[in-house]
Amino acid sequence: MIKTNSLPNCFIIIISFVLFGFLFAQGKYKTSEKIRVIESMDNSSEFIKRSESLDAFLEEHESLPPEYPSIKNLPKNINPIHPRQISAPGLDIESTISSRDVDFDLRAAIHLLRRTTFGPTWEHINSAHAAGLDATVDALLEEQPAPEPPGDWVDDPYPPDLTPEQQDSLNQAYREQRAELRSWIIDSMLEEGINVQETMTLFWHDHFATSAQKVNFPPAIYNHYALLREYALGNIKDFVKAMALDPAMLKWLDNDENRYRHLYVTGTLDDWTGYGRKLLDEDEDGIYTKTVWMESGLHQYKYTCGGWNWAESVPDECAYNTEWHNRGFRLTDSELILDSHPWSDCSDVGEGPRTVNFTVDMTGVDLQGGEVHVTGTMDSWSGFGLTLMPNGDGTYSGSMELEPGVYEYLYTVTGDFDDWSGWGMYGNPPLGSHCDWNPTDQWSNFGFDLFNSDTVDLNNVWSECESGFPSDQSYTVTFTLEDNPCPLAGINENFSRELLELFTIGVGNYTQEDVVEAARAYTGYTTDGLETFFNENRHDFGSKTFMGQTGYWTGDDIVDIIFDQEETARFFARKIFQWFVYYNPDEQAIDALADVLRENDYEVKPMLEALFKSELFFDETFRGAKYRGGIAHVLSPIRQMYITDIVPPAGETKNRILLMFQEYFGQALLYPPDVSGWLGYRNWINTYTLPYRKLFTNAVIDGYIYDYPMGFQPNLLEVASHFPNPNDAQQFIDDLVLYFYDIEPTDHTRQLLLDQLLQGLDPYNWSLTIPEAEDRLKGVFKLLMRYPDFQLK
Amino acid sequence: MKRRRFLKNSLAIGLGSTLIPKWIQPLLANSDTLRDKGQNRILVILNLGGGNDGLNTIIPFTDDNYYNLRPNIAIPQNEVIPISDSLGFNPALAPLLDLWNQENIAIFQNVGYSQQDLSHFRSTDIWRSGSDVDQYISTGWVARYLETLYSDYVENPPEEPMSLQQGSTDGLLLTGNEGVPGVIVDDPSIFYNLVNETYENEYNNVPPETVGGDELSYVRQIDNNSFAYAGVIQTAAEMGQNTVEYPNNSMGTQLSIIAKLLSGGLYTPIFLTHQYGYDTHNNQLNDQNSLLSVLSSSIEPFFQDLANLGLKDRVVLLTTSEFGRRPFENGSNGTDHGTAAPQLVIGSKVKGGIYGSNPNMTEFDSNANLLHEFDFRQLYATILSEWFDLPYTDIENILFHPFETFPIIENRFSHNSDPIRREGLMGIPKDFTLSNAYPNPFNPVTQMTYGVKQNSLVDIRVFDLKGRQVLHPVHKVRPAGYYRLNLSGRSLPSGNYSVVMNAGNTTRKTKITVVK
Repeated sequence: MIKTNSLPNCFIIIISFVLFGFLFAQGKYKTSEKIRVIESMDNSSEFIKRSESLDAFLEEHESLPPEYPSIKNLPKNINPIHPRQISAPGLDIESTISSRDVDFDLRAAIHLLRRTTFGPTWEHINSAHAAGLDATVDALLEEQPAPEPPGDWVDDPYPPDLTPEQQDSLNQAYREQRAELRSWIIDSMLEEGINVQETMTLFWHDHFATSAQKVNFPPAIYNHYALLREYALGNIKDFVKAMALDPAMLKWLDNDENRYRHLYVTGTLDDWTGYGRKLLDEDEDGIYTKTVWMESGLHQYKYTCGGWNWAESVPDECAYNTEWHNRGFRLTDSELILDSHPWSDCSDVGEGPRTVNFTVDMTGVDLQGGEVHVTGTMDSWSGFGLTLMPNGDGTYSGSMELEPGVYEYLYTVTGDFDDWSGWGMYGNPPLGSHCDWNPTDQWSNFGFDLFNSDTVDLNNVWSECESGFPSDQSYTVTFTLEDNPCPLAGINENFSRELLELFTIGVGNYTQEDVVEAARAYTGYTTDGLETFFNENRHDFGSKTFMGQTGYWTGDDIVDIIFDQEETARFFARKIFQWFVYYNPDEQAIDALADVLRENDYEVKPMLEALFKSELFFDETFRGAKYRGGIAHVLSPIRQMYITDIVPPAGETKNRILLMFQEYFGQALLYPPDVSGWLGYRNWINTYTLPYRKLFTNAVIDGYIYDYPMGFQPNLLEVASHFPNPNDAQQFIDDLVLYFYDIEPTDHTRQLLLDQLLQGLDPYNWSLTIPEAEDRLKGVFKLLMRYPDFQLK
Repeated sequence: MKRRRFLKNSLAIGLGSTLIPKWIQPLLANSDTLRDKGQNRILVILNLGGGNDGLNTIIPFTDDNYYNLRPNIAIPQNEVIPISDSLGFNPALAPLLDLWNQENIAIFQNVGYSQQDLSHFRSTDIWRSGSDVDQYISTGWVARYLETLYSDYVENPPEEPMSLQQGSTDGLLLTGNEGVPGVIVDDPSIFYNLVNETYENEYNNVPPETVGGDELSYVRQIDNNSFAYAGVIQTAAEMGQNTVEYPNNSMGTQLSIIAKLLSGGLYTPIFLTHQYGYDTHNNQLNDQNSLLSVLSSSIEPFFQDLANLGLKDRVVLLTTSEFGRRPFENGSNGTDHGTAAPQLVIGSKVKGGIYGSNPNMTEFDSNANLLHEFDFRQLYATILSEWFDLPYTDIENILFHPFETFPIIENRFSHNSDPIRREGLMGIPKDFTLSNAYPNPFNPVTQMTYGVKQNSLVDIRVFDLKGRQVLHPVHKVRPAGYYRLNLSGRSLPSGNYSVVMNAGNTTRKTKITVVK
């Protein structure tokens, strides 16, 4: 039959992804010790199965939000409040990080403990004051043993084979596990002594802000938090390297999807699997090649980045098949080196017409007096095309000039016998034979391309294959492609950008190219949620130029280069300053702290020690200049009111009410608003959060919030008895304001508090033993915590 | 009730008066001033947090490059809802089609800025502060606008909040040079109850002059703001209503509360609303489609509600987003951070249509990102000028540069039916005034400003030296304010003339000279 129009070639689209071929050749690769290297993608391994199954689960199941008790008068839905506010008063201070002139009086001791713990008790304060600054800072920086995990579930792998119903119930169980985990963290914060590790763990949680909202797999979140705690007082450079490969982080910033894609040629050589043969660039000249043995005949192919998601689409002018935009070539009787193409583009096919010589052997064919013609796409299958002249030996020849391109043709005989219809007889290759131009369609034509040669000689036999095509012979074909887009097709910049912007050096100190190169270095990591694996087949082993340095960088190398930058130490010093001292950094102090950090090869403790012993830290201007964050605002009143036995109401889970209020205050533990963490500073206080903050402290003193029991009840008389002189009204009020306020209040404030305590009583008649003492204490404690001063530390 | 007690107590104490807000004193004029200056018009800013992908929102569905660059995440041609011969809505925006057909949606194409910062956080700050890319500004453009309207708000707060944020918030947008001109409110009645249960009315303290003291002052301002506005907002919520069902999600709730407060008589010129989650690095098709569908199915009832409540001509909604996304898809069926993207301005007074050209899918910046066509501050300037009728000099002060604006509002000045542009020299004149003309001598046009002390009939005529009336440009009742008069001397021969203004029993004169 004659082909005038191709039918869709369904062949290609039905080919689906099959796991692609594995390369064993890359050899051992330096990476962090904890990470298992996968040398091949083994479809049957438990890990791959778990990982893929977990991925599908995460894709389908949203992390269920935390459940909170329903309380009269409070809204069911808590609106996360994450404002952004950046201005702060300028600083003009003389204090430095020198420790010479620190006067570690009782008020200084309270200041230090307010900033480094979740609220000191009167006994903490006195013992710190008695021990002195050096001993207190030593105690603060002493690393604590890791607590027992919240449950056995922390080691549970994600089960690979579950029905949708089982998955739903697992999702519910995960919600409970997250609640246990959060409560467990609250417990360890409530139970801390004079030690900064819990506060530093929260600092790092804020820094590497990873949310359980996306990482819907509790063991991963547990391990993430354990890692934060493990390195809280450790080496920052090592910490960043470990965090980069943490399973929760890989999921959170999509780095488990950040991968290298190889370049493949697929086509008739592999029945269009989408993978075919991998092209390599061993000499790193940007040109990728692959040589394969192929049978002589007509072939079609195209380049892909593995599978059909990324496959090139070849322009019509050099496509063998314009329906599917495939490339092609004729493999005749010798090896073939194909010209280098750019992706989805033609190589230079040149301009102007070239000569095509047609010869057909008509021996044994009865021409019935007619003429031999060649017809095809060049004359739109008119049947006449070019008239061939006899050579006298049974063959007929003719030449024509054609523009570069791809042509299909066949031979016809026409004459009086068919009334010059053009189609008296036709000679085309046998259907599906090796010289059938497109063997998979219903047509059977000869064909040729006119790209790279000045002349093409076509020798055919009437109704047989081209004589130049020996069947069953194989020759090598070399495929070549330049400008390979695949290495960048699979990368995902999410992690590498935040690594630079938020985790190590900050905006303005790197370029977009650095982001891409760091992403390339961090390709190849995958996780099943518990462990991280390095998949060599997905890693970009090529050379990268990062921050001006060129090499075969891995992720760890990237981190090393970042930490060689001057600015990196300043970045961490600034964040530490902002966390412990004030939002607006003092650049002189930052320089000094950064020096300490660099001198100690990024160990965090020496820098903290220098800061906590500095004049600057105790400067009067910074007293009360920090806001208590949402979590601290929940924990401080509880610790400072000596509440230790929290028994949740019947049917309620432990600490859930505390977690709920953190959320009202805009700081839900394990749910930072985004990867930049909580914004802090004045953002903690707005017209939404401030009324809730005061409602909460009232509830702590009452033991109830509206009609809902808090699960604890402070013993106010007992609390008062911790103070040295609770029966001296004036002295007691002075001690209380010292205990709760970092800024010295005015006499007016003291007077209001005293009035609240005495309510007309003569001061000499006040004592803890009078019948109304408990009521009076209740009023005073509530008032103390409702005044704006209590919001600051 | 509580409030009255507070007033009494505070006055009685009378300490640290510089810190006591003066709204305890009579403040009748304040909210009227705010309402007047804001032209009684309302702007709702809806932020799409995370960087919304513009190409999959307003889709260039005839551009082959769009499909080539996004083999897996392009919206197929047959699913696009065409709005022009080459652009179409994402199918999730179907609920907005009516508003589009009524020409109530202006689409600004390729909004961004040069040398786009690809960080969410930095770029968000740039959008909110209205700064240049290399400029660090610690106040927000909205706050600077509000401070232009009403500068005295810390000491002397207007009776209604100057802005109200719903749900998650943008502190920077509302951080001004003086303070925070706005409140964050979730549920009005819970807010009211909470504030009244916890506000400590007798507290009064002079903070020390330290950094810590500054922070204490800040907490006090927030404390006072919440108390000042809790009642007003609660009253508006009780008086107000919604006439349609909104979807039961955060976006729907945010917009429904705005409609309710407005219908209850609250006048607050700026509302801020939010939707998060547009950072679609992976699995973009599902994630973005569900976000856009929440968005469109909340905006649609909002405008329906406003129409039912008779408020539709008073409200314009502007979308913002820190950036668009990369034209090329990434390796995870998502897109990485990009640059320019379309933004929408919606409202019954908006001249709908597409402003700007289709995204250029062949020429990119050095990071393979789209080139921007409009600076995002042109949108701000357009809103300030066209919607809030703010003079250009003020707009330039707010945005630090002059920006070209676009006539996107229909019948801009119909509210005072004044053929002469009211150029709003802000404030109310103390007397009737007529300025000297400038230029003078002139040919053919000169300009002068006249001031009206109170609502009066204003009559302005031009006489020649022989006392013959040659022009009669103004004979109208004018509300108090300043007005600009453009006078043409085309019909007049060269010579001296006098301009005479009569209003409220006073006469004002000035001389002009025509030179031909």
